Amino acid sequence: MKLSTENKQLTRLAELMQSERNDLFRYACYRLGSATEADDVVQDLYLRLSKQGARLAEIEDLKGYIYRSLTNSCTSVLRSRRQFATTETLDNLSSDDLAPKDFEQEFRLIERLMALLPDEQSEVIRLRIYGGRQFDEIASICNIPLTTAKSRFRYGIDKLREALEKRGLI
Amino acid sequence: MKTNNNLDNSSDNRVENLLSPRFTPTTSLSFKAPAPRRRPLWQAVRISAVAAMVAVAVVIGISGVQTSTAREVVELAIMRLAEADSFLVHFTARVTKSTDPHDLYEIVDSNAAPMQGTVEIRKEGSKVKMAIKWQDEARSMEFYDGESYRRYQNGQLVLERPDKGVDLTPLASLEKLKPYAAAMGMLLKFREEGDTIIVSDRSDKVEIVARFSKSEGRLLGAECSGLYNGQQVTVLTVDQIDFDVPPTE
Repeated sequence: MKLSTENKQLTRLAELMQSERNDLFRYACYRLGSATEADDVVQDLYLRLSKQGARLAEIEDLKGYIYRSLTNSCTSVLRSRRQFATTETLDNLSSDDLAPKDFEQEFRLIERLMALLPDEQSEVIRLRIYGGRQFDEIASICNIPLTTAKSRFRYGIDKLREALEKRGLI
Repeated sequence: MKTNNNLDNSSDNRVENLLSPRFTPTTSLSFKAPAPRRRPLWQAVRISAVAAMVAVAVVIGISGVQTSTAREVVELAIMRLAEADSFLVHFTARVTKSTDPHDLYEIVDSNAAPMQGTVEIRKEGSKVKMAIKWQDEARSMEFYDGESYRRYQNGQLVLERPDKGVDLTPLASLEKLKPYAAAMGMLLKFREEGDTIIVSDRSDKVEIVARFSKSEGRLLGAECSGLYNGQQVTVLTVDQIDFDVPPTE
């Protein structure tokens, strides 16, 4: 009986990870700036969750739990390589930088923009744009009210718009 | 006011467009629920063989190339591994007779006597054949030819059934190996400690460690251990691996 419950939960987890894999990978990619590291982080997450076996049944919102765990994992990776200290500012941003030609340039641009925002706003924007999450899902992942999730997104976009307009970039 | 809002919306759209991903890399990630762990020995042998092959391939990889990181070494080594036609892995395992008629042996506990054996893997065109030979009283041999499983004891065929056998596709590259390993509940880690490169995996029940020397260009050892009755017990040791060997009987 225990084995049956465990198999059922592992199947539930695998199916969810499979259906969400592109969103999970994209979120991790644009958080870490590396496809290889994104692969590793998502795989590592799957293995860690797999080890919970039958206890996965106790997690009501498994999808939200997966994304929450992923954001934490990415933060840990970034801390370990001190990524936060090396992000460039917008001061020397040119119009060429606004038209990236590959993933690396695109990631650098996004990181520079995100660096202008408080963490709680940039996180909502990342989950929305790169994780492909709806606002109610973001509210659940971040453990905040739905209205707060929406307003953080709104304030974040407003702040970026103002910063870009001030520099004549949009 | 309305105009301002429209202007803001237009600007907001530009901001969101700037943030929208256009160059997202692709991923080969794939998730499948693991099959019930009914055949621990089979899994352990296959896992250890894979780990050991990677380790040996790395030895070959570092013998002629100046590389810096373990990852670079492994990437190169796996490319070379894909070119080899056969491997012969000599191992020692603690085994007892399986209670499952599908399996010959199981790795059960630390009290079981160590038994030696070999795993021979041979690529023949698109087919991969594998033979596990045991140094037991019955000189047992298990043979997978990609279509069936056959078991011989004392030179006689005692069991035959359909079986897809072993798939070496994951060994074509590190990127293919990782999702395959993950599907088996493994996350291969490559790290360097001084002169030693370590390929390791630790899942909840099985741990694999393969060590090899960079400077000497040789395998130092590979082993697979499991947690039994609260104790970590080495259940399988890879003693030697031969590359591109002529077919054995």
